[in-house]
Amino acid sequence: MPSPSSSPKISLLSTLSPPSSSRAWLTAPHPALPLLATCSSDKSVRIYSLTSFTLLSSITGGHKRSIRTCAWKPNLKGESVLATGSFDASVGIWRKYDTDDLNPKPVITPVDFDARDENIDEYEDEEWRFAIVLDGHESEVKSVAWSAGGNLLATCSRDKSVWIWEEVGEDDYETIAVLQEHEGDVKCVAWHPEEELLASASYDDDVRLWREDVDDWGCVGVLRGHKSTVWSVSWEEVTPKVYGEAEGKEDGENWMKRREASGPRLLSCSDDMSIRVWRRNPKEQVQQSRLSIIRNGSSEEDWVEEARLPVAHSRPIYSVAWSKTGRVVSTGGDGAIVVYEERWRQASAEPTSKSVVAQPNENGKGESSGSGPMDGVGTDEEPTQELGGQEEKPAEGERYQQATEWLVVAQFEGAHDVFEINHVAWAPRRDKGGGSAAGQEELIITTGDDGVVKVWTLDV
Amino acid sequence: MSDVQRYLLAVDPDKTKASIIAKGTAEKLESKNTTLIEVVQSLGEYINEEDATIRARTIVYLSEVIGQLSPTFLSRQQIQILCQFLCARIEDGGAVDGLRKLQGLGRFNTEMAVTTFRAMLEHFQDLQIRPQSQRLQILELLNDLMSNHRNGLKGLGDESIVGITDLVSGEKDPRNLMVIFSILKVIMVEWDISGHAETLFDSIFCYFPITFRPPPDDPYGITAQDLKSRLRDCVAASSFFAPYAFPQLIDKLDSTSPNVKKDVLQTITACASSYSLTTVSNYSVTLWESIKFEILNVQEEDLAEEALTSLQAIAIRLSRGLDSTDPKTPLARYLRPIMKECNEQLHEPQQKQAKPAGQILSALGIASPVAFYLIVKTVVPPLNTLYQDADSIGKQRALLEVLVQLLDSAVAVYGTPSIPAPTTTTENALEPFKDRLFELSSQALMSTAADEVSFRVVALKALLRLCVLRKYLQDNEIGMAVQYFDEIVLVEDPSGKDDLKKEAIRALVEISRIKPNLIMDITFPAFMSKLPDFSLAENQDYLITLEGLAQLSVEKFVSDTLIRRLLHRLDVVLQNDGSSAYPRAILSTLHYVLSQRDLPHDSNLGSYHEKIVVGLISRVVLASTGEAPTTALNEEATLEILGRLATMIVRALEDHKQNSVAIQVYSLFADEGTFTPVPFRKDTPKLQRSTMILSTALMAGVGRSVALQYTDSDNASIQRLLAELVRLALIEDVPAIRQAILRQIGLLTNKFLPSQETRDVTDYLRNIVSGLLGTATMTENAVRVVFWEAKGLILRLAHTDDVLERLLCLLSSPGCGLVSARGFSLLLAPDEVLCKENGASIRLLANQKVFNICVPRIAKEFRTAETSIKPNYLIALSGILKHMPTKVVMPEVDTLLPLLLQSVDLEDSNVKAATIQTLAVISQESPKAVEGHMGSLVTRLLKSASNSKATTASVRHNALRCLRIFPGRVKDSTLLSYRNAVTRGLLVALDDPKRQVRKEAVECRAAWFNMDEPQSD
Amino acid sequence: MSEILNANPTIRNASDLPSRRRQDTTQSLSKTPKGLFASTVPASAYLPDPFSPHSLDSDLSEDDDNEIEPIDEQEIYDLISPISDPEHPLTLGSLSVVNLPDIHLTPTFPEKGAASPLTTLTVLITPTITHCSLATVIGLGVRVRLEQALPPRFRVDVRIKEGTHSTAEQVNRQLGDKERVAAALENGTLVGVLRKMLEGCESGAA
Repeated sequence: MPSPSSSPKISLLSTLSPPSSSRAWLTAPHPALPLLATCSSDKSVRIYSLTSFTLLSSITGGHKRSIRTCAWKPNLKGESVLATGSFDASVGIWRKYDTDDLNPKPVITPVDFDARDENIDEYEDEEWRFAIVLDGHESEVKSVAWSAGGNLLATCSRDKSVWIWEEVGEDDYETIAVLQEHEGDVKCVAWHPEEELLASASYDDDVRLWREDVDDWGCVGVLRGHKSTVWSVSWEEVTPKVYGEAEGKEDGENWMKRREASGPRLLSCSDDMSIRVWRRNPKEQVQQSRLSIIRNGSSEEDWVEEARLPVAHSRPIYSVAWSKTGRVVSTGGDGAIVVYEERWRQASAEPTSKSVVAQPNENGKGESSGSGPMDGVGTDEEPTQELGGQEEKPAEGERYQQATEWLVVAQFEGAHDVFEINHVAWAPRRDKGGGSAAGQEELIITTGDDGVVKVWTLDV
Repeated sequence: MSDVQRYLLAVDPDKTKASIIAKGTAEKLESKNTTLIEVVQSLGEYINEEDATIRARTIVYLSEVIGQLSPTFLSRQQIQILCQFLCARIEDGGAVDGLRKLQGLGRFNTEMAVTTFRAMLEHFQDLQIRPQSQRLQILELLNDLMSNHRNGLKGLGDESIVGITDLVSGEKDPRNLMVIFSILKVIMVEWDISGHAETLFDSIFCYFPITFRPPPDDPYGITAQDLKSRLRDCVAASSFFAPYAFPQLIDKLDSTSPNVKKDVLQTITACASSYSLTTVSNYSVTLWESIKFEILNVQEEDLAEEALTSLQAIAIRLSRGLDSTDPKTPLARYLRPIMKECNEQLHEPQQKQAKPAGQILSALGIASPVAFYLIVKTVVPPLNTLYQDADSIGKQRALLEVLVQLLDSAVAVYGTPSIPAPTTTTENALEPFKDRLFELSSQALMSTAADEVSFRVVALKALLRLCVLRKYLQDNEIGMAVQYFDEIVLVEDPSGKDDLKKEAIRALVEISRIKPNLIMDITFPAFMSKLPDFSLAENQDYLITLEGLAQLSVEKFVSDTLIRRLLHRLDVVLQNDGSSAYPRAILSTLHYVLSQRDLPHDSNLGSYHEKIVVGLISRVVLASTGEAPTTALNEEATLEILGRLATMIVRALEDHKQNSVAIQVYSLFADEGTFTPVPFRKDTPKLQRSTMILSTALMAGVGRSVALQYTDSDNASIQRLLAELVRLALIEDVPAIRQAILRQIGLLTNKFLPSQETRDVTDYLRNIVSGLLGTATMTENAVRVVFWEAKGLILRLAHTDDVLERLLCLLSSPGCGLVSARGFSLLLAPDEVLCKENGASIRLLANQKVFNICVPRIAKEFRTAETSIKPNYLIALSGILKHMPTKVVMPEVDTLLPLLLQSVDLEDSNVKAATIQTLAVISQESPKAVEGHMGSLVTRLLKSASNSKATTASVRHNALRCLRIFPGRVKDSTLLSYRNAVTRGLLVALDDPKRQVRKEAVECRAAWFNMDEPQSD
Repeated sequence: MSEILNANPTIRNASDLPSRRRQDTTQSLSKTPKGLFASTVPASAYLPDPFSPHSLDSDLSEDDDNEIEPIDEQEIYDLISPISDPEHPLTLGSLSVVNLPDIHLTPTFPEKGAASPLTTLTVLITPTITHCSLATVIGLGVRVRLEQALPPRFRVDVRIKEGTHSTAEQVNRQLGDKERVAAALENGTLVGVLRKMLEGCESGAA
């Protein structure tokens, strides 16, 4: 267990080369192989190797406009399937058989202008086969995600809709849901790590949750609170991970028991420069404590804003990712990478005010061992009394909430020089021989407006 | 076998042979060997063949025969018979052509014309079924009838109108339309078309608007513009069309296409200019109502222009022959609603529609003196009151701008003393407002807050126009205005006011053209009194005064006075020992004024020579020997300006005077005792050595055939002088003096050296060079001497190969290689002294010769040279190319490009800048040449555009300007693959420390962004 | 243009617009007189001596090379004022849509002050009439011009000025969304409109 005093440090492991010559939007780590797929506004996806950090192949010619997003299909053997979403309002599905040797073909020496990077793709790209295009959205596709099992594909677009596709045969997909409750451009979709529960973030400041109820997909929850566009959402792993020693044994266990009941939590980051943690209230509790006219009884879920991460960004936060190790990383317009940890609250911290409203405030007063110049100031907005949707839970739930607190544990400014960073993700480290001592070491992958993808280590 | 048979057999393969046969028949007819009857009968069997081609060919034969006959051969009956014969068979090919020939004959009378015309109407009911070429032939026949037998057709009255309009209807082909429009125009103008106005109008207006776009390789060269103007002439041909033309034109004015609108407006203008007065008057107000939108809500500037022209055309039409300013005339009725609307707009002078209102008033004001009178009467009073109660300077300025526009119209209508005014009896409507306008504009100019520059500039323009308007202001009033302008130039403090001062000087210059006496009496004394007697270094207020005086002396007698006064002032200044900047400024003024004069024919040339050349130079010489009170004139910069002045004057002198100057080149008009010439003297003090600058000036001024001092008859002495000058140059370290000596060396070798002696000088040059190569301690001055002497020889193409050979081998010498490389840019650089005007022999082929010899040698030796020497070759190359005309460079681009690209990598920023400029010229001249090297070109230019110690601001600026040339010139497919890299690479330049470089980077990046990408969606 | 939304806006005279020309110093009479009399001296007289390498040859490098001219509000104004209004052949400067006092440069990380590597540029736009539907296009034009003309260390925020537009909030939201702006720039027709608006900024120099 890392002792709280030694704060982890972010350091650059490698810059993937050659970089794209125009803005890169997102990099998706392959679920199994040491591969990364970076989509860029030059209408191509570049497949880099996580062992050699160089370009393996490129997917070009598939879309007529910038490629905004892509996602690897999970649980596949011997073959890789990539879904790409583009501003040309279409979603492409690409296939490639996994060649055994993962080290790259002898790539031409650092690109001289006369041998332009295009011709690298010529002899490479016949390996990526264009399987099928999924048309349906009326405007730019903003995000695509495969369900945990891999059989469902969620896509969202500026046309305010979320589509769910099911693979019903070899390269044959069927639309099983068109969800249109959002009132604005849907920015991001993310599947629950296990259940067929979908989260979507939107320009209308809301996060919505979708489930298949009987044989019809519908909205089962609206998470309101953000003051501006919600750019991205990320699910917690099934098994939570909290750092530091549990102060009172009994407190920790209660927290864990309750966490099992509510299931993995959800993280959302927004243009309003806040990152919020949402938790589900298990259903039976809901029936006892609240008399409310529930439309069709069982499907309505009740989510509550459990906490807000310390404010560490001064520009819109475009991307956030919750790692298996429980750590969270965020990045955005200010070009900074910030890593947070959830820690057991220490007894020494003076009791937080027992306000009726279980307002989760940051660790402001608590000692912050974060290395960055964390000001840990209280939330900048007045304690909000949410309108509609979430009424705050009565006092009895609030003692558990206090059990943990979020801290900034590492920060790196100007990660892509003066350029904005559009996406951040965690990926297992594969370039060193065996797994590192502390179990599976994780890397941070950032993708920036400079067209560059950088790989960072978090030296704990 | 009859002629016709032989013709029919021959015509198919060989038309010319057939024509000869026809000619033969014609000769037989004329020589009476056969008669017309026989010829016609001989056609008998063939003329009735069912095979149309045979019939056609027989008739073609007949018409060819007619064509070959002399015009007076056929008698009236014969023509009559032939005409009837051909009319009966008019549909057969060749008949129309025959008739065209017949109608051209003198005896072809109107009656025959009528029969032909009727035959056409009868047989050609639907012309459109025939091919275009046949239709054209028929139309041309009709056109011939119209031009040769107009009254005949005219006599048919309605029958001809209806007939022709039916005949020509439905035509689409532009060539045919051109003929149709000209035919119809004649009818519309000369026929009484009152009964058929509508049908005739519709027959042409159906083609409006013309949207014809000629095919790319159009053989006939008919443009849309030709068709449009012919159609326009038809529409405007007769007032009868007005009831149909104007409404339909107004209706088409709402079209969304600017071209259609433009066509409509131009047609309205044409109609307004040609329709009858009453017709135009009836529609004048409705036209105004529909046209005004285009001006008040201006979308496209040129449409507003067209609309203004239309309104003006109406006003001109209504003013024709009118000189009564009575409010009931059609013109007054037309102008009333316009002036009302414009007055309303002027209530909000800062709104967008105020300016167009001013434009309307001024455009109509120019239409005629009466129009101007009516407009001034209705608009100026309210304008004046609006100006009074305007609550902001911005509003007042907008109103003043309208006043200036009206005064422009006044000047156009009533002229200025120098522009003749049209003869008109209507008195100038502005007369009663004279005092008020004068007071208003003077106050606006002089009593507004000093820093309201843009407002006062408009006021100044108004006042100036009042002054120049013919017979308007009295002399004393103009004199007051002149005083205001003087005050602005002389008294007001200059900071941030250069616009106003420039306008004031411009006004004074314009007034000096019409009232020079006022300038002489008021401005001159004021300016002269401002000139101080002596000035300290930092105070340079006198400069604006001197510039004003220089610009004012346009008239001869004004500038004579100025020169006299300046020389006098110079004497005063030189009494007290002030800074040298002031005398230099006076000399510069003299130089400017004299350079505007035609000196050779100037009566005062002699006195200028005495006072300036001899007078000032001897003053300098005196000062150099310590006798004169001040050495203000002896500073190098001042000597250079005095030198230019001297050269200009001496050049204009006749030969005998130049001889007297030539022998004083070094003694500089000083007598023996006081000053010994510099050459052949040891360690002369610097002050006296600097007089060499004047010697160079005199040497440059005198003619080439004149014998120089120190060059007595035998030729050795020039070489002796040359050797002495070389000695002086080698040891001279004051740059200005060294430059003067080097120029003398250049002048001697190029201008004065007899051609037979050039051989010896070349050998002499070779010795110096070998001397250079030998000695390790090579001085820069020695290289300068070599290159100046080489320049003299090369420019006159004397032993060029030999000379250049010597210079090129200097490049590889470790000691003086680099300095020699830099010397190459001197060879072809234009020089102020060694130039054609000063009699130097600059041969046109010199450039080409230097290029042909040096470039291949440099390219070859560069490849084999070791790396330390390579830069010398590139520096030499960039020096040669810097002043090389592009037409010489372009053919060798392929050999040059690789070298130039490497030169960009050199550290020396001058070479970098020069090379990039050459690359820019090449890229502009022939983009294809650079396409192949786009990759490395873009990389190097991006590197040179980014701020580093090797790149000065001017290098970065040139690199960006060169990068900007490619979009639009090099084909997109090549550039698109570099677009991302360039727009990314330019990010550094966008953050350049220099604002000027940033501005260039922004424009360069925009050019690359806006390359039209193949539209993907 | 079916019907022009604002037919008769108030126009500011070009010479009233703030410009850098006013602030520069009067002409210094250096060795090379720049004034009227320079015209009579042939250019070759000012050619540098080719032999001495470091003689400066163009007016650009007359003041010393390393004196930095910072990007200031006036320069931003000069970049966006010549943009033409989609409805009128008039510039945003003359229509007072963009004004010098509404341009603010502030360090993105306030605590770092001048050393902040990023600078936030806020430009407030005043539409000519309150319900002008073209406000978004004008805002987009200004943002695109600034993003193309400024180095990446600037964060460009283009907003509608408080209380000057009925739907300011939605317009500001759109203008602030980097992804939607990027997508808009790949839509052919919109790019055509923007290019026409930005044509006015070309200084016309070839």
